[in-house]
Amino acid sequence: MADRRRFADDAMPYAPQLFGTALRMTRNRADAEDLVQETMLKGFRAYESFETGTNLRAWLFRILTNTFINRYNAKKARPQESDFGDLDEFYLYTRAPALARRLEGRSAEEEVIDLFTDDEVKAALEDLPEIFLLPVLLADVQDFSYQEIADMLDIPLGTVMSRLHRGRQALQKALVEFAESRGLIDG
Amino acid sequence: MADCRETIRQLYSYLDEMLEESLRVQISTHLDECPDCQDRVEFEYTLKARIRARAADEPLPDELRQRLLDCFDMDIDG
Repeated sequence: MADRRRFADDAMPYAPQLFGTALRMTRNRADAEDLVQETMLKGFRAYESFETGTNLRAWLFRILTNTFINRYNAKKARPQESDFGDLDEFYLYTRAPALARRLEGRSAEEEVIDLFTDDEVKAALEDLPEIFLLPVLLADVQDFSYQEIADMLDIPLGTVMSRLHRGRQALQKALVEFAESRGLIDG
Repeated sequence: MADCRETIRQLYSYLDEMLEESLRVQISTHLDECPDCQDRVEFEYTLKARIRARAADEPLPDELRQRLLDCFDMDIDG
């Protein structure tokens, strides 16, 4: 059993990660701050039920995710999954050669990835349909395992994998669209 | 040994280190021999790393930090 008085010391180091994730989830600073505050307060109140020695970071992210789903979910319309239609495999990779040709003296396909600004990467994440957004944020940004994500979202492991897979394609498609709109690649 | 098709099918699970050992070894053996698949894996790996580097943390605003600490204090007193 964890001691509630230690909560600030134990949990505050995770606050920047929680805040970063909350910003991507809510797409709004004020909502992200409220979401982090609500998550931390719930964690604080429930800390006596947290088993010392288990994964505190995963426990906090689970509270964050559930609070987001229950409270902020319906507030803002996101693109729907169906808006994406068919997604190619390796959407960005297959278009990377066309992008690489535009980079003078920088031909490596991996450098294509550096074409995108921080803001474009964040916007591409934030515009994902929610069923993709949560698995992509938890796996690719926060490095949780498929099983941890399945537990947090209360969905089967296979569903985590398929949403993550489609979410990554959707993210890559959004990045390609940024490249097209900047004239880096022909649309 | 795995072929290109199987490698592409398992690529994300491989990248995420979620494959069981025998399949992981098969994919890894194929990658040693197939520059095309290796390129693809490296590209996806780099993309994943960049996304993480650019979106993982956000500096916690001072006033939010204070708000959190204050609400723990108030909650324990109240």
